[in-house]
This record gives sequence, C-alpha cells and structure tokens, in this order.
Amino acid sequence: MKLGLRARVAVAVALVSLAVAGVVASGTYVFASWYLLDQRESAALTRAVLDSRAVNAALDGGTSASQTLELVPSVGTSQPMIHTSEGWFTASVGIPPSVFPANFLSLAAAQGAQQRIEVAGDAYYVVGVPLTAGTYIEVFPLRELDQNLRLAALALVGMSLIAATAGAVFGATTAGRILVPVRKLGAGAQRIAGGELSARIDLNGDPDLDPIAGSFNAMAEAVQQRISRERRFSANVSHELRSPVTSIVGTAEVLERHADHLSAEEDGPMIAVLGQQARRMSQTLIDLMEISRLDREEPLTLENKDLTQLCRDAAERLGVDPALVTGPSVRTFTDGRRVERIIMNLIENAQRHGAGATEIAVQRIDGEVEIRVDDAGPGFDMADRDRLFEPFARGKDSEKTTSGAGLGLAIALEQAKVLGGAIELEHSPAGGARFTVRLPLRDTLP
Amino acid sequence: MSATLPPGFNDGMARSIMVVEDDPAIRMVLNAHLKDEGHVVIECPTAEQALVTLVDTQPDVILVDLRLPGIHGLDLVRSVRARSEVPIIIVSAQTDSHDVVAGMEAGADDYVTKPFVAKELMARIRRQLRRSEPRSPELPILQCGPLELRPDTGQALLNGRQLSLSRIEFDVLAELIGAGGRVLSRDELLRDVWGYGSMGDGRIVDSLIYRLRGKIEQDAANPKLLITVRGFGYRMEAGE
Repeated sequence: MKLGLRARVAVAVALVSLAVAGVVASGTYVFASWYLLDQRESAALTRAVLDSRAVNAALDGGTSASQTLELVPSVGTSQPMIHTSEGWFTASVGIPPSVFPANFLSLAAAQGAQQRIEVAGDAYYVVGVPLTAGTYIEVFPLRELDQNLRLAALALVGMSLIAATAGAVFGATTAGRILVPVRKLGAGAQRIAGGELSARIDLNGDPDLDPIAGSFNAMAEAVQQRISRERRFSANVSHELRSPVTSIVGTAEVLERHADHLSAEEDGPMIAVLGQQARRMSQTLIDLMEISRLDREEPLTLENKDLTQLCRDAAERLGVDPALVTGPSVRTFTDGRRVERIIMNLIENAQRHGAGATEIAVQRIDGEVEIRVDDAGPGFDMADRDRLFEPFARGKDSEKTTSGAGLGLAIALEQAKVLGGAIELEHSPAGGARFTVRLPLRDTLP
Repeated sequence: MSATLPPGFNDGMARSIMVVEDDPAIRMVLNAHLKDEGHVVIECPTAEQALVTLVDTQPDVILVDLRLPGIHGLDLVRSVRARSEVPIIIVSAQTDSHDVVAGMEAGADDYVTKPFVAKELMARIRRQLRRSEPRSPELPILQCGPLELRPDTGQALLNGRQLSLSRIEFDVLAELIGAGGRVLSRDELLRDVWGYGSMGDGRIVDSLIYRLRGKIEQDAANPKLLITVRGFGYRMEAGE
C-alpha cells in the first residue's frame, strides 16, 4: 500500500531529524570520549610519574618493595606494581603482569611507556616508569569512564530518537497544514463532481494559496459556463426537433383520418406541410451532425483548391446562377468541404432571409482571400449583429416554417474560425446584408 | 365540418377555440384537428394579436404556445387570467418541471407538451369545454371545516367570506372535499378533474394544489386544510 503524502512527509522529516541527530550525537560522543579519555590518561600519567618518584625514593632509601607499595597514595583506585630483579611486587591482586603486551616491560624499563589494554572486557590504562633499580608500573581502571561514556551514548541515542519522533510529528502537522488547501480543493472538486456546479473555494489572502484557489475557481467557472451552454443547446435542440415532429405527427393523423375522402382543397396544404416539415427536420439533423463534428475537432483536410470555382459549385448546388460569383481565380491550400459549407450556408441564409444572394465576390487582399456574399433583403438590426451568429438565433421577423433551426450562420462562423479565418456582417449597398468571409491564403502545405 | 363527432359531445352550439402559436405548420395541424372536432378556430400567430382579438371575441378555450416572438406565452396567460375565467391550455415544447410549474402558476388550467397526440389534446379540450358549460342546479353543498362550496352557483366560502376560485380550482377542491378525507392520488385527480387517461403529468396537480393553498390556507407553507400525504397524494383535513 502506498503511504499518503502526509505520512510520507512525516517519515521523511523523521528520517532527516534522525540522521541529523545521529550525526550530531556521534560527533558529540566521539569528541567527548576522546576528550574524557585524554583527560583521564594525562591525569593517570602525571599520577604514575609522581608515584614512581615516591617509590624510587623509598626503594633507594632501602625500603623493601612490598613496603614501598604501601606508601603509594593512590592504592585503592589504581594498582601499583614494582618489577625488580627479584620479580613482581604488587599491592593487590588484580591485573597479573602476564596480560601486559610482550615488549611493554622492556620499553617501560628503558624509557617509560603507557598502554591501554583490555582485560576480561574492561579497559585499563597501564603506565610504566623506569626506576633506579627496576620498573614502576601503575594500572588505572578505565571502567568508570567507560560506564559514563556508555551512559552518555545511551542518552544521545535516546535524544536522537526523540528528535526523530518530534520530526515525525512536526512533519505530519506541517504537511497537514500545507494540505489544508489541497483538501479544500478536493472538497470543492467533490462538490462540483456531485453536481453542485456553483461550488467555489474561498480566497483568504494567502499569496501562496490564493493562486491555486483562483485557478480552481476559474476552472469551475469555465466548466459551469460550458455545461450551462450545453444545457441551453440541448434544450434548444429538443425544442427545434419537437416542433417539426409535432406538425409531422399531427398532419399524418389528420391525413390518416381523411384517408378515404381526401380532398385536394383541404388536405393538399397538409401534404405540403408534411413534406416541408420533414425536410426542415432533416436539415436540422444535418446541421446538428455538423455541429457535433465541429465539437469533435476533426483535423483539417488541406488541398489546393480554387476558391472562386468552389463558390460557383456551391451556388450551382443550391440552384443559384454561378454567374453571380465574380473575381479572379484564387488558389490556396484549404479544407474544401468546410469552405463549401460556409458558402452554402451564407447563400442559403440569403435565400431564406434576404430574398436571395445578389453577388458573391471573391478577391485577394493582403495575403488573405475575401469572399463577400451580398443580398438585397430587408437587412438586419445592428444590435442583433452578434446574436445572429449564435446557435438557434433567428431574425425577429423570420417565419418559423421557412427558416431553418438557426444553425447555419453559427456553423459557418465556427468553420471559418477552424480554418483560421473570420466572418463579418455589415449592411450591403443594396440595404440588405453583406457577409464577408476572410480566410488565410496558403501557398504551401503547413 | 366533419361528421366524426365523438359520442356524448354536446354540439348544440359552436365552440370557438383560440390557437396562439407562431409556427404556421403547427397552427395548421391544430386547425385541422379542431375543425374535425367541429370547433371554430381563431388563429393568432402572436400574443399581441391574441390580446387584440380577445377584446371583442370570447373563445371557449385558449391554446397557448410559450415561446412566442414578442410577448411571452406566460405573460399572455397571466394577462388573460387576470380578467377572465376562460380555460387555458398551454401547448409547449418546453417540458422542464419549472416550465410546467410556471405555466400552472401563471393561471393555466392544463399543460400539454409537444409533440402531442392529437386525440389526447382533443380530450383535454373537451374536458375544459365541459367546465365552461352552465352548472347543474341540483348539486349538494360541500363542506369541510371552514370551507363551503356551492356547486350550483360556483360560490366558494372560507369562514363565510367569498373566495375567488377559478373553475378548475373549484373542481379540484370539490373533488377533494367529496372524497371526505380519503387520500386522492395525483392520477385520480388527473383522471377525474382533467380527464386524463393514463399519460397524465403529476406536476400539473402539484402546481394547482400549490395555487389553491395560496387561496385557502393561512400559511401555505404549513397547510392545515389541504394536506400532502407523501407518496400517496392529497386529502382534506376537516379539523375539529
């Protein structure tokens, strides 16, 4: 199982604390043990030298070796020994001379020596000083120092563990505090996922956290707008399909009832409406499919096309005189299907609302191609100009039956944008509408 | 005029139906069906034209589309309801609950969604037409707590004070009081008051109950007379 971020931060801080505490503790231990041992050894050395002088004086004065040992003041805390030609003398039974390293005695007798030894797990410091006749040896137990150092080490290990624990706690709380905004984000996201699209995160003036909350809120706003736009769109779709279905079903019912006594006068218009509404519905469905293709962001199919010829073909397909298309041949790499769709939608718009197109002019202007579709219809209100390009928009006077669902201009504009162009709407010289499509000119494939 | 009148339909006098609808195809369809039923049709493509026509015409039922250019269908319903008891049926492509509730709130008597089944819509119209017929004189007085309904005159009294109820409000209240404290489900009310067969829309009942409470309850949010029985329907509480 993977640990949570908070646990991982806690463990990491704990490990770092432990490592730092460990290094500091080991350093402290090494230094303290070196220092204490050094102190102890130099004290022992001084002591041994002083003792050896007293011993030497006593021996020189004729006192026997065993008696001389009684005089050593440090008896009890250390073990004095004398080695003479007669052998070993010692005041107490403790460390036997046999444990000394092989050449220790000769070295001590010659020039004096000191050595740390270990006997049965305990450390000792042995100092040997030459005498007039023999060698004085004093053995200092280091056990007490060892014990102290062990205690200190234990304390240092304990401290390190405490530091690690404190680090873990500190890491967990800090991570917890840092994670508060993350939790808020999580809670906000959950509310949005639960359908509460208006959920936002409070900004509380923190320069580090507010940008995150701000981005989150901006995202939520975009999502909310997108969803409400899509809801409006689908409500419109449903409305646009319900109307033709209503009239198709309704006329069909009337005609079925009249089946055995159909009259041209009464039922003729009904049959016309049936066909007209079925075509209206099929056009709406085609437009909706086009919009869903746009939404899927299909890639462009760029080919070298003559736009003027393309306009003539589009006009012809809609039963419009291709001679209305004016201008020189303009070739460019573009997506022919999309351009055709734009031109056809503009011509159809002119047919529906502008009494038909009067001119379709193609010209090259500053690295762009401009296609103008003019009509001589009743024109439009400047106030409605942008709204007319919205899906399901209609001019205020348009008759529901003859007009489409109001998707044509929206599709044309979207296609123009996909091609890197734009569509503008102004009044035509004849008082109708003039749609100007601007598309980029491409001499080569990008 | 076609001869296919349904049995039991009173065709003693011509009934006129106003159709306020901006889609000419749907207007034509409604016209054909209404004519086949033997009605006279007054077509209005806009609410504005309907308001002008209503000055000197009294249709027996008005069918109103909601999404009209210019004045919205809801405003037309409100404005007609303010001065007339004429039955109003909303015929709309808008099917959301809030549209149904808003339509009933505005004072409509019924709400039919597009695409409609012509036979169903004609049945709805027939039921509303029955409501505009003269009241039968021999119906007994209905009483429930402080409420008193006189079906013979169409008067409704609350603590002796005259209540202003529309015909459909009166009928719903009469149905509930007539049940004598028994719970009536939405479907029963749709069947008995609106004449729905099986495809009724319970939201119509809820909106009307809400409208009624505004008129008969002291505190509509905390009803004491017209009680909701959750999961079952509505009933009247006679009180002590």
